[in-house]
Amino acid sequence: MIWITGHPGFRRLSRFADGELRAREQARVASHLADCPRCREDVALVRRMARAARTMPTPRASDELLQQALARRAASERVLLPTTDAGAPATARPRTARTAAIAAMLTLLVGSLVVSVRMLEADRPDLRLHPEGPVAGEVLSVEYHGGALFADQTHLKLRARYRTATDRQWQLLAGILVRGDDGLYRTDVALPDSVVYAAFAVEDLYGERLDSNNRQLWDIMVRGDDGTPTLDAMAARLRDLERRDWGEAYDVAREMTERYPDEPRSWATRFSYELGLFDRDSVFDTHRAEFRRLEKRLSEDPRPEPQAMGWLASYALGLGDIASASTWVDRAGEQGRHLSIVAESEMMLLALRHEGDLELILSELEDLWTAVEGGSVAIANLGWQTAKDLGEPATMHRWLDRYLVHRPREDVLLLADAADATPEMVSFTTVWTAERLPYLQRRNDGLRPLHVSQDDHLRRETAEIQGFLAKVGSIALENGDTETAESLAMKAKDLGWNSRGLLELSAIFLAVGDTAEATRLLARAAADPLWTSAAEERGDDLSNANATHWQKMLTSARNDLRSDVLDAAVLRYLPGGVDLRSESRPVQLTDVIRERVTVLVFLSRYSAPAIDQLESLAELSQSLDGMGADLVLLDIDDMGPLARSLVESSPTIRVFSDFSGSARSALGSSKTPDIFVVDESGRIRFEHSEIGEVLRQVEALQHLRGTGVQIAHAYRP
Amino acid sequence: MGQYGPGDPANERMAPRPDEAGLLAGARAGNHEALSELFHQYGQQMLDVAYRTTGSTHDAEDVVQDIFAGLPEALRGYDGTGSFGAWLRRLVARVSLLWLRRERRRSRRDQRAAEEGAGEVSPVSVEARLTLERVLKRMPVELRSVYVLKEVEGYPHADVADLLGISIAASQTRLHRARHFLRDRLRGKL
Repeated sequence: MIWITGHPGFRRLSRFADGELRAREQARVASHLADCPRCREDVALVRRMARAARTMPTPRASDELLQQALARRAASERVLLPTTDAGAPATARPRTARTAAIAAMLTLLVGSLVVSVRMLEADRPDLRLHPEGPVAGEVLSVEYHGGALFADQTHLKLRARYRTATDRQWQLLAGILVRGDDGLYRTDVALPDSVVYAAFAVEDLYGERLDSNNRQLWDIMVRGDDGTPTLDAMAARLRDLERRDWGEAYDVAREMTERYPDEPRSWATRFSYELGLFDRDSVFDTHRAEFRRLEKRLSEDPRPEPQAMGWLASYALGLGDIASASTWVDRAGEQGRHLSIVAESEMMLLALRHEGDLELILSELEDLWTAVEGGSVAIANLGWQTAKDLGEPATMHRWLDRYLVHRPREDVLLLADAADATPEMVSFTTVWTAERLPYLQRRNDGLRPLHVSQDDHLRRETAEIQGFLAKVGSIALENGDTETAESLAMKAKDLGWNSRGLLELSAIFLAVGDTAEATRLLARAAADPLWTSAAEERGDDLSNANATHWQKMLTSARNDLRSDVLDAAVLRYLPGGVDLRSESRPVQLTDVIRERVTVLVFLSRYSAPAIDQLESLAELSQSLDGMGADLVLLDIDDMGPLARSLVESSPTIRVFSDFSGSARSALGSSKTPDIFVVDESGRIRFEHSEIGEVLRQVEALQHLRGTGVQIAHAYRP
Repeated sequence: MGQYGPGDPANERMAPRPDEAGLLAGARAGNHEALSELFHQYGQQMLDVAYRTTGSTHDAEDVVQDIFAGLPEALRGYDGTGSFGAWLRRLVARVSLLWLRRERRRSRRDQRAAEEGAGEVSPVSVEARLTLERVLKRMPVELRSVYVLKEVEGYPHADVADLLGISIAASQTRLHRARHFLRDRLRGKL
């Protein structure tokens, strides 16, 4: 056999290390090794890895472990252990009448014992993708074990989010998983050639029950010829993680610099993450040094890639080195202008050079937009912002449409922002809204995040649209266009539960003389603990006019909101045996709950979004304290002074360390900030990252506690 | 059997003691003193196997605790013909694998979890071992279980295949894939 590359492949070397090759081949590899240091190193590495694995440090077996086991026995708990091997499916012996009888007896025996459910429960759901590292365009075999979650389903939907190297992304139904005789669900998925990253989740055919792997999804990155993830694939994964797990995204950024240390893109990306995390001076010192190394390397390259030059320019811009950025943008020149990174660096430079000259900036942006292939969200965004500042509707329309091709999810947010800018914007926004309203109100499953059920998505979407319509209506009202304001308010009033929007809608109805509707909507806003004081402040006249009626409206609204909130509740027990630490002393997670509704928040000092939340958490702790609920921070990697200053300013906050990760693992937390709202009995009822949702949820649970009502809406396994 | 026979050092680690028969009889009857003695003799080695297989202190402790909670009943299935140490080690591996399958979806743990363990002197640097441990935790479960059972615990492929319910060829393939996975991430670091 001839080795194509001139060297035996790694698998062959690995088999050589185990002596698994035929004698002739073994000798041939041995002969090659004598002359080839690279392959010799691979074989040596196989052995070093095994040696290192055998000498890995292990934890100490403490007597406490034994005492706990004996205590369990003393409490009559028994565990049925697997004393026989599983046996390979292919070689499994047929089940005889005798073994079936023994199995039946065992079942009876089990019934008479207190059996540890943990050892007997069915496997949790899991999804496997093969190959785990596909090449572009490859067909994936997907195998899913549905566990108890989908026990009654024969077909499931496999949803996917695909990402390309050019930052395009879309969500789709990737396939239908069909349950086989062995209980596993299977399907094949052909990856489009352009896809470099894909994330998956599974749900029932109605999108009601879903398994998103604890919101971590299952994902794959496309590999290159060397079998490792391509830089494009890693960058796409990073972008996907950015919003759902910032800490993991930062890990990917660091991994990019390890795998691709000579690529400016790796370092420019890592720099953007580290700016928000560490001391600014040291970040700049480190990255300036890296930049100089990369710049030297690229300068010595006779034919540097335009892509690399574009990323180097972007890195220079981040570091504030405008001169270097200009140099590298110029060098990338016309031949690289079609690349978004080159065009975006040029865009930044022109925005700096022509600051204030909006028409000139827009004119140059038009050139760039025409040049860049596949569009650029950054250019579209700057075009939109500049056009908005200029206030010319036709230009705004053009740039808004361009922007929304890339970020369709942000339409309502953008317009609400735009409508506030100038009086001229009002007519633009109201016209745009009228044109787009049917589209806004249409359910678009393609925009639904993979981890969100159809019901939850609809709830969020409608609340968002309600807020948008209320905002535009308010602006129309301020500008004297009562008719438009009322029309929008009529459309928005029963859409969802956006408390800010409800306040604005109430004001519109009051202005047009519909006091009854204004009071009803105000009461709905006041039902949300986060907005109670704002609503009462605004609605003094309405609530004082007929106090009894107001109280009735408020009670009714609170019941409606509780019902709305509890509809989205889960039911999961807080696991026992999870060790935390408080000032070096061990504490059990279950002991942290003091028979009060408790909000657990995982925080990390390596997560910029988590750090951003600290101020809000201080405010939240005061509100919770007033409601008789607790706020507990679970610090996963030593927040140190940050946590201390938070506790000093808000003494009711309790902080525990989860450095070992046992609480994260037990709760299935994969990111920070991550919030778990636990009822007074220690059951997890809500899990998310939306701090603004917490007070509503705590209020609903406190109310439940008072009535003794139990909600058993439990789709999670 | 493969390259590790009954006299192999891999099995010696849990070798039977002379007074073991009496001890096992006591444990079988649920006697706490006998169970405590077995724990003192085998607990650390059991925790080592469980920890390497599950990659988590917490899980490993749960595995060992579960085994002691169920050992008297399980001992009824041990007929005394083979080495008790080998039987127990196999049981630990089997329970750890079940645990691992059940816990597979749990989130990746922080590297700090790896730093909990007490260090021991070895020719491989502490940093390298921690790096390896971190990478091992990221390895897909089906590869890691083969790698640990074969390379660390010293089971031959036939036993690995039995324990995991896969074919011998699959065990061999997974071992090579596991090494490939490690090599990609450890080259130049070990």
